Amino acid sequence: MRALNRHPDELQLSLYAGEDLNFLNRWRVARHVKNCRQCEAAVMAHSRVRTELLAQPPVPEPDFEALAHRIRVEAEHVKRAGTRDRGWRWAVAGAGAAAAAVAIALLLPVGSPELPGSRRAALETIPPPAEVALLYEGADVQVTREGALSVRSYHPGSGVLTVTEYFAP
Amino acid sequence: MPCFGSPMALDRRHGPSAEGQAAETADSGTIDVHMRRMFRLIYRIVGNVPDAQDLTQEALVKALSRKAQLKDDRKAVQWLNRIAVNTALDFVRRRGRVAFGEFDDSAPAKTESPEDRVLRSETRSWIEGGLELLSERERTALVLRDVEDMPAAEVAEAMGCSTATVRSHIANARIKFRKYREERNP
Repeated sequence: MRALNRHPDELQLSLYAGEDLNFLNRWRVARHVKNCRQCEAAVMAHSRVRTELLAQPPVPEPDFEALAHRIRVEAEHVKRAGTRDRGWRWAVAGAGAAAAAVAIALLLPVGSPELPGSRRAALETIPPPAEVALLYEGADVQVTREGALSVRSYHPGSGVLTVTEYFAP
Repeated sequence: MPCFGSPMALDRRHGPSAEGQAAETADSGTIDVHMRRMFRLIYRIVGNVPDAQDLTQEALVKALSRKAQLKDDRKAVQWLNRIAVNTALDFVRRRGRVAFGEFDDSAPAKTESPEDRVLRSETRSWIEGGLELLSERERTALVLRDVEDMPAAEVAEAMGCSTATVRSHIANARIKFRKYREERNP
């Protein structure tokens, strides 16, 4: 192990003064400081600062009993609020799920490619006007009870059935 | 005393009410065991009693509501220290600067003479002046290391950064403080 030939930098000296260097660096700085008055003075100055900081007045003692009581009350309040929040969250999630299920049940007959006979009745099989049927040649065009135009086109190549509804403005 | 990691808090043989009671006792134990240390850390960072009290409350309530996050009970102290330091640093960041206004409210020793009191007050204002020159992270690192005498590794854990970063903060802070001292007392 070699001692330092040059002066250690200020960072190292300040860490040396606070005993925050690792073994090797501490040894190297110590060897240098022993023979260098300038660095020794710097280390002394850092040590003085450290001593003054250590001698700071003690932390005041507030009323810890009252503080502990405040914390207990607040913690209990937060815990209860959390439970209530969780309850509300579950209720909202349940209501949302129910609404989604109802919406799906209502929309499914219109969008489903294979409708059971009973549900198919929901669609009025009113024949579309001739000009409309011409526009969608090869597609199954129906007018729904709500007055929308339901166009079903089947692409044999891809096997995709497209169902599109057009609502009158 | 029951606290984080106490067998009482983990005992599953009790019924729901007994469990709840055990958890409550454990929370109470946690408050008693850790409150003073957390207050001390926070006070050193924010520099006044009323803010330190409020932040200790905030930090402990936060910790109690998130105690499921603590995987290893043996690290409860470090975990709580980190919550305390983060809470204090967030506060200092929000407010922009540290207010050391309450230093003089600490109870003076009964035997303290008026001259000693003046001297103590001067020392305080000197230290406050130096601490105000530092960045919040430098100040925190310096205070935890040099005032609270915590090892650098513990400071790093509390501040959520590496030991090398903490050493760098400490070194910079000491250099600034030394310069400040030399300017004040040439």
